[in-house]
Amino acid sequence: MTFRQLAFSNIRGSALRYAAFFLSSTFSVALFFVYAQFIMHPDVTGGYIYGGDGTRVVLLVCEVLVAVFAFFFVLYSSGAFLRARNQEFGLLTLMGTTRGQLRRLIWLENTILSLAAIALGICLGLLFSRLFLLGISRVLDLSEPIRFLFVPDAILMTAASFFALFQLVTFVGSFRLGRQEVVELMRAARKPRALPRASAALAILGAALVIAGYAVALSVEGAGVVVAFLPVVAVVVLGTFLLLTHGSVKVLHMLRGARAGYLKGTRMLVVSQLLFRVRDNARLLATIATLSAVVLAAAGSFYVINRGIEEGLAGMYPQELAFIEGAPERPGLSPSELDAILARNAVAPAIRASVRVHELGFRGPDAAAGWLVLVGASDYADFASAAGFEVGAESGATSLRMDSGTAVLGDGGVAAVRVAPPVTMPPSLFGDWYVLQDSELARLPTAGREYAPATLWLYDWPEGAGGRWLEAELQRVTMDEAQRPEVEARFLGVRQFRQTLGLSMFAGVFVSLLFFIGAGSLIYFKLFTELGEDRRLHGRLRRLGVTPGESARVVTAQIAVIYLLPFALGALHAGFALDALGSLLMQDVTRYTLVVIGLFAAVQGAFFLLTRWTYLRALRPAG
Amino acid sequence: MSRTASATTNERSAVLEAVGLTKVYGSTSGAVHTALDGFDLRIQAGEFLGVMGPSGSGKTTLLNLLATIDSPTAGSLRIAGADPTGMRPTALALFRRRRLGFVFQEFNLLDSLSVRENILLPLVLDNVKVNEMERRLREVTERLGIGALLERRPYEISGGQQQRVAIARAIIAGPDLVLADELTGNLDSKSALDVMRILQGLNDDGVTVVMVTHDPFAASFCKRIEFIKDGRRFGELVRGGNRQAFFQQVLDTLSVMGGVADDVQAARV
Repeated sequence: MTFRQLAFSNIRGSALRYAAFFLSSTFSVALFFVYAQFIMHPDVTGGYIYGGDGTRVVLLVCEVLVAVFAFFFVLYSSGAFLRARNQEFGLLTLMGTTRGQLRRLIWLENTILSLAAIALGICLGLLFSRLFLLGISRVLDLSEPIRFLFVPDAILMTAASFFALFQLVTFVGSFRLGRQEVVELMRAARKPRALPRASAALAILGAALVIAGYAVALSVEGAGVVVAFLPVVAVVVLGTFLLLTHGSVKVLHMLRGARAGYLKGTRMLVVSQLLFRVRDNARLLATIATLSAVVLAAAGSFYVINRGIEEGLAGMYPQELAFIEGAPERPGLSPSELDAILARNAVAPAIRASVRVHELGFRGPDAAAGWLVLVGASDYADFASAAGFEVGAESGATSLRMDSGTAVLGDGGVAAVRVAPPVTMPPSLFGDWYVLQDSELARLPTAGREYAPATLWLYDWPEGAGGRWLEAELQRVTMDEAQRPEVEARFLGVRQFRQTLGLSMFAGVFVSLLFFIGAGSLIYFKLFTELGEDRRLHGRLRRLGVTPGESARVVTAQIAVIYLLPFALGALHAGFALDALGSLLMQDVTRYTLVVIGLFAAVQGAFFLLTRWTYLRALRPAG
Repeated sequence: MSRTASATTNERSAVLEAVGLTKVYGSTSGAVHTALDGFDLRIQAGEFLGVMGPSGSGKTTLLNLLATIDSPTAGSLRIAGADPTGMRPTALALFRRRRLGFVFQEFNLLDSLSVRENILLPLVLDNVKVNEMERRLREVTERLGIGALLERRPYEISGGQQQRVAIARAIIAGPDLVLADELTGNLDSKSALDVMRILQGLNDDGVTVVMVTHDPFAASFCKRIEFIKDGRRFGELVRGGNRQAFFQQVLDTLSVMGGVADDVQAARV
C-alpha cells in the first residue's frame, strides 16, 4: 500500500467524520465563488450601478470578509477535525510512523479533500447563482438583472485562493501536531475546561458604550448624523464585543446565582451549558452581530431611499392608467376593451373619466415653440369632477389665436387659461394645457392641424386591486412601442424605475441575503463541530434519567441563543442607525426598518429551525 | 436515609425480579451473539448483590438491562413493582431518575456543573423545592464527607472524591435500587477501599445495591455474589462471616470458573 492509497482509504474509512469538514469547506468555496462571480461579472464591471464605485467597494469589502471568514472557519474546522483524530495519529506514531510521514499523510488527505471541495464548491456556486438570479428577477420584477454566464476569472480566483488557503491551514495544523507528545495524542479524554470568567467592569463598560452610542444616534439631528457616524460606529462595535465576551458570561453567572429560579427543571443545565458555549463563541457572535448590524442598516437605508423614490413616483402618477383614444389614424387602447378587461377580472374602477383634447403646435412670445393641449371649459369641469380634483386656481391667463394650424400665444385672440390637471399624463400630452370657452374652442379654425381632436381616458382602481394579471393584460394591449406616447400607467413608470436601478437593487439584496446565509451556515457548522461533545453529554444525561424532551429543551435553548442573540443585537444596532438616517432624511423610517428587520429575522429564524431539527436528529441515540 | 424504615420492615419483598432475561445481538452480516441467555435474578430490599464474571461474560449486558438503558430480547423484568420493558422513552427516563441510582466506573459527572449542581441534578429536574433540596443535600454530603467540596468542579477533585460525588447523586432522590458498574475501576487502592466502605455503610442503612465488578476485593464487600459466565448463571456465593474469608472464597470460585487467570492477576490482592 502506498502512502497515497493510505490517505485515500483514510478518507473513505472515516467518511462520516470527514463529511462535516468537507461540507463546510465546500460551502465556504461556494459562497466565495458566488461573490466572485458577481463582482467579476462583465455586466457588473461594465454596467451601471447606482452609487457607482461606492457599491463596487462595498462588494469588494464583502468578498474580503467572506475570505477572512472562510479562512478562520476552515482553520477552525480543520483544527477540530485533526484533534478528533489525535488518537489515530498517536497509534500511527506508536507503530513507528515518523513525524514527517504523518505530516505528509495529513497534507495528502487535506489536499485530496480540498481539491474535491473546491470542485464541488464551484459547481454548487454555479447552481446557486443560477437559482439566485432566477429568484431575484422574479421577486424584484426585473426582466434580467444580469446574464447567467461562466466567469473564468472568478473560477480561477476562487480555485487559486482556496487552494492556497487549504495549504496554509494544513501547514498550520500539521505544525501544531508536530509539537505534541505521543502520550498526549493517545489520551482520548478531552481536558476539561475551567469555568469561564468575566470582568464585571468590562461588562458594564460594554453596556455603557452601546447605550451611549444609541443615545447619540437618537439625539443627533440633520448634518450632525454625518459627523457622529464614525465615532458612534466605533463605540458601538467595541461595546458589542465587550457585551458578548464579558457581559453575556456575567449575566449567565448572575442567573446561576439566583438559586430559586436556577435550580428548576432544565434551567440549570441550559445556563451551565450556555456559559461554555457563549464564551467559546463570543468573538464569532460579536463579529456576526456587528456585520448583521452593518448589513441590516445598509439594506434598510437602501430600502428607505428606494421606497422614497417609488413613493415620489406614485405622486407623478396620481391615477393608475391614462390613454388616448385615437382618431382613425391613431389606433390605441379603447375604453370598451379596457372595460372588458376590468370586468373580466372583477375590478370596479374608482375613476373612469374622459376629456376631449386638441393637440396643437404653438408659437409663443420670446420665440417659444412646442406643443400645447386645448380643452373646452365645460368638458374640463366634467373631467375634473369625474377624476375627483378641484378646478382650482388658474395658473395664468393669456390670449390665443390660430395661424394656419398653429396656435399663437399672447398675441390677441380668444382668452385662454393655463391649467395643470393633477392626472397621470400620457407623454404626448405633456405640453401646457389651456382651457377655452366651449363656443370659442368650437369656432377655432381647424385647417392645417397635425392631429385631429382625441379623447383622453383616465382610469383608477383601488390600490392592490390591479395586481399582476392586470398588468400582464394591459401590457399585452398597450406595450406596442408605437403606442407608448399615447399610454401612461403607474406600473409602467415603476417598472422603468426598477429597470434603471435594477442592478444596484440586485446587488444590495444579493449581498445582504448572501451575508445572512453565510453567517447562518457558519453558525450551523460551528454548532456541529460541538456535536460529538453534546452526544457524549446527552448520552450521560439519558442514563441518569433525563427525558428526551428535556434533552431537546436544553439543545434548543443552546441553539436559539447562539443564532438569535447576535441577530437581535445586530437588529437593535441597525434600528438605531436607521433612526439616525431618518433624522438625516427628515422622514419617519420605522415602518421600513421593521420590514427589513422582519425579513431577515425570518431568514435567521428559518436557519434556527433547520439547525434545531437536524441537530436533534443527529443527537438522537442510535437504535 | 428516608427509606431505612420501609426497607427493614419489608425485608422479604423483592425490589427486582428478572425471569429468563435474554439478550441477543445480531449484526447486519448475520452473525448472532447471545450475550445473555435466560438469566434469572431476584433481589430483596436491603441486599448488597455483586455480579461477577470474566470479560465478555455478559455482566455489562445484564447491568444495562437492569438499568433500563437496553431492552431484553426475551424474558421479563420487574423493578420496584413496575415493568420498564414496556415503557415509552420519557416514562422510562423518569423511572430511572426517580427509582434508580447509578454509579459508573468513569464517574459520569458533568464538568459544566459544580459538585453541588451535579448532586442536585435529579432533584432539580424534578422541580423539588429549594429548601427540600438543601436539606437532602446536607444529609447526603455529610454522610459521604464531601461537604467541603460543594463549590468545586469535578475536574478539580480527586477520583475517589468524584466517585463519592457520583454516589451522592445516585442516592439523593432516594432510589429503590442503586446500580454500580465497576465503580472502583478507575481508583487507586486507598480510594477504592474508601468508596467500598461508603457503599457498605449505605447498604447498612438500608439502600439496596447491585454492583457489577471483576475485582474480587470490591466484590468481597457484598452480602451475596452471583457469578455469570457465557451469559448464563454460574453459581452463587453468600457471605457468612468476615470479609477476609469471603474474599478467599471469591478467589476460589473465580479459579473454578476457569479462564479468569488474567482477571485475578489484575485484581488488587
